[in-house]
Amino acid sequence: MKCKKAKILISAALDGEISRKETLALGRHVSLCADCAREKVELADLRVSMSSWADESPSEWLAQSFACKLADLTEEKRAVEPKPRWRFGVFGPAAAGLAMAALLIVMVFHNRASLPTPTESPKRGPVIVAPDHPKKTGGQIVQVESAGGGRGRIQASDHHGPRHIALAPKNPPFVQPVPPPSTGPGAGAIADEIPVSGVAPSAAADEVKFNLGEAGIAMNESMEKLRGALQEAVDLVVSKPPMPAVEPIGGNTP
Amino acid sequence: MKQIAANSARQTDEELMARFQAGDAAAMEELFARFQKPLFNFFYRMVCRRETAEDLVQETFLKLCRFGHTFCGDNAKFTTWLYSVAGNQCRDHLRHSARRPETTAAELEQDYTDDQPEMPNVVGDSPVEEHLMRMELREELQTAIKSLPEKERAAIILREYHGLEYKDIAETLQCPIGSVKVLIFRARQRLRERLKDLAA
Repeated sequence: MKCKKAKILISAALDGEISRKETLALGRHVSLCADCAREKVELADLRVSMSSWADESPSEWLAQSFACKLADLTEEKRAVEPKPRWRFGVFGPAAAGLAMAALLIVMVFHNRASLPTPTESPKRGPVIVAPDHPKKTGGQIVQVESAGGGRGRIQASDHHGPRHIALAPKNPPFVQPVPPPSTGPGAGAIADEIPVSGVAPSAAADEVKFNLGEAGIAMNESMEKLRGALQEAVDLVVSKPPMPAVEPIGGNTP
Repeated sequence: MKQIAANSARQTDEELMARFQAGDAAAMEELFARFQKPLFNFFYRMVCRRETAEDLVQETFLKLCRFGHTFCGDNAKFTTWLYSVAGNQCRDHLRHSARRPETTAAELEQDYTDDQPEMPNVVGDSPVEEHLMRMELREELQTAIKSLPEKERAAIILREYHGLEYKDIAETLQCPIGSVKVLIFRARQRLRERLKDLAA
């Protein structure tokens, strides 16, 4: 072992930081080398000298000062911490859309439940019984019965739904009938077939009920359409964004 | 208070740190009480200025408070982490103060004399002489340690005055254990030569 390495090991041995093998090798070297033996003694004396510099105590205010700063830091952390709140993240728009759809559904069912239901018959709105006289003057004529017992005839046009529904009650009092607006050539025939008799208050109520039922059906249909549109919108929001448009290589659009 | 202090004394440094991470500020005060003196002496021996050493102690602990969440007691010792942070604080301070004019010997002497312990009761000449000799040796030692390069100074102080093992010193100074052996060896060589020159 060379003295340069031995002196480093002497320093480490002073701190107990060498292996047993190194200790044995060092011992052999030191026993043979006076310079390294002197080095070992001088390092031990140095350690004694260094221990003369005893530890000192810091000022008494240090602990108090730190306690104040720690309290300030704790308060600062509390003030900075954000309040927990609901975060929807990516699903925020979808959740909003679903919430709207759910609200609309609730409204629809509420409206349907609040509509006055006809008491005399479970049927709601007009029921198409059978085609009566297929006089083809402009459209098919069908006989219609309402939940209130009144009957009427509807000219079902090819393109639109029934334009007017006027019902004749079973025992009608005198009421000035309202001729239906009609443009077809068979309008006059239809007007003749409607019994010209008055409409009693009960019949009027039936008519109101019938119209309300019809309105409810129309509302329901429109709500269904709206719900469908909303669902499509929600699906569009939730789905992945479209790929960015890629410019054609040629640069010129065809 | 004494009961709480007694209970805290049974807890390890890592347990106290875990309590602090859980939100118990009193645990950090307990850690401060345990380590303010050794940390103060580390900084004092590094920078040789009392007020600066106290400021560095506060800054180190405040840094522990801010970054306490990064400490994991399962993987590391608290003392190693503490001295790592302290070493970084000291290095930053020394680099910052190096840009300013160096402290003159007179200023150093003034700081030193302000901190002198009280004179012992004089019963004959020997206590006074002994005291003066110790003071003189301390002054020489302080000057010799201050003359060491920063890394050698830190290594020899952590070894001689804080009893850290080579592997802990290596972790604190962020260097290999072999480098720590060489740093301490060189520091001792320089100190021995410097003390011989001062004695002469």
